[in-house]
Amino acid sequence: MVTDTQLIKGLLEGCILGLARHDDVYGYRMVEMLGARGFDVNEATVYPILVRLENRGFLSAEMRPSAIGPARKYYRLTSQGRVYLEEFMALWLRTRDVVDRILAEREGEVT
Amino acid sequence: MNTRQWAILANAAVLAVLVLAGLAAVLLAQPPEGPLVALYAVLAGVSVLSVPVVYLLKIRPRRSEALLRDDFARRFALIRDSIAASNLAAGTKREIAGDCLELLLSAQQGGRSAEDAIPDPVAFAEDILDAYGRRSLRAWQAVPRGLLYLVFFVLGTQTLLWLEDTQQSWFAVPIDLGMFLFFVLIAFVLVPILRLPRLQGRIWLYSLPVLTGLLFIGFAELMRWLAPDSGFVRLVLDGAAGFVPTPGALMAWLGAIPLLLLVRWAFLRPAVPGLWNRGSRTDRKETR
Repeated sequence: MVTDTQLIKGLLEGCILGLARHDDVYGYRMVEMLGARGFDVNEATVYPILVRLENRGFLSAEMRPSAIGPARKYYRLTSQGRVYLEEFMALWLRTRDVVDRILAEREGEVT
Repeated sequence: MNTRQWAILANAAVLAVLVLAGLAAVLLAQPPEGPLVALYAVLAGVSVLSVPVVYLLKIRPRRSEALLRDDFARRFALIRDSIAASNLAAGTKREIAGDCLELLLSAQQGGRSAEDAIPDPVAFAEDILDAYGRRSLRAWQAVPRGLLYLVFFVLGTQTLLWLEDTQQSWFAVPIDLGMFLFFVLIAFVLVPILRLPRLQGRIWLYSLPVLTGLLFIGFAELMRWLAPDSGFVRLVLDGAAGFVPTPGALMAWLGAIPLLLLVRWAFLRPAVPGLWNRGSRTDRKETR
């Protein structure tokens, strides 16, 4: 399981935007979706990130009735968020390749 | 009710009793006349009503909150209090509290434990607040807020004192320097401490307003006893000054209110783009 660290928190922003691009998602559902994909995260980690992304204009929110009681807030990716997500994906692919190459280097191969 | 709720209610009751006792002492010493009778009646009424109001606002769970189990409810109360103590706009606070309530209800219904969902409610609230700007920037908001309190304290006190003798000019009413010092203590020390998110949920915090008042009186009397001949002590304890001596000064005090509100908002504005233009951020229309 992936652990909850500062590094993961940074990556979570991109992953949350990635999950929100397919469908409108509410907070608890986002925790479930991330958990199902291997992120060991809880509500305390995810909700502040959702707020931050909403404040930066990357997610918009809409209140809808919920069967369990109070209205539920659904988040959706904005056009601004879509641009940010594309930038994140490009950066992630570049970074991942670099990290993979460094970690794959054997002793004596370092230039 | 849990210990925290008892502490809130008990301290509200103690504060009400102290105000009523003070009023009783004043009434016994000098029976009021004219507008003072109405003023004292209002003060007594507010004191008596404060306890049920505190119960309704701070303790009685709302319909949706009542659905939370004890462990979830305790966490929600801490989150709500931490957010309520922040400098955010009232609408934003309500929105966050509603989101958190729904989040906790969903987690509870999903079979998660409160500990797993929100291990540290106060740290969670601080993380949320961090999404609205840097902590240092938010801390600076205490300055314009404290000055605003000071303006209201001075103008309110001057009016109350004037009601004791409406024959004199409102502008001629002096305020005790000790009282002004107490206002400064409340505005710049007590209120910021009460609003620290990290302290929310501590039982002693609810006693702090009453304790501060008692300690201030005790300290003043101690100074009078230790240094009865000190000019500074006599000035602070027995001196008085006209803080709003002229109509021009009153205009300056009143003019400071919108200015300070503007400064207070300016601290929050850069943190959340569009927050002040759009009101609540939910239900924004966005074309996909």
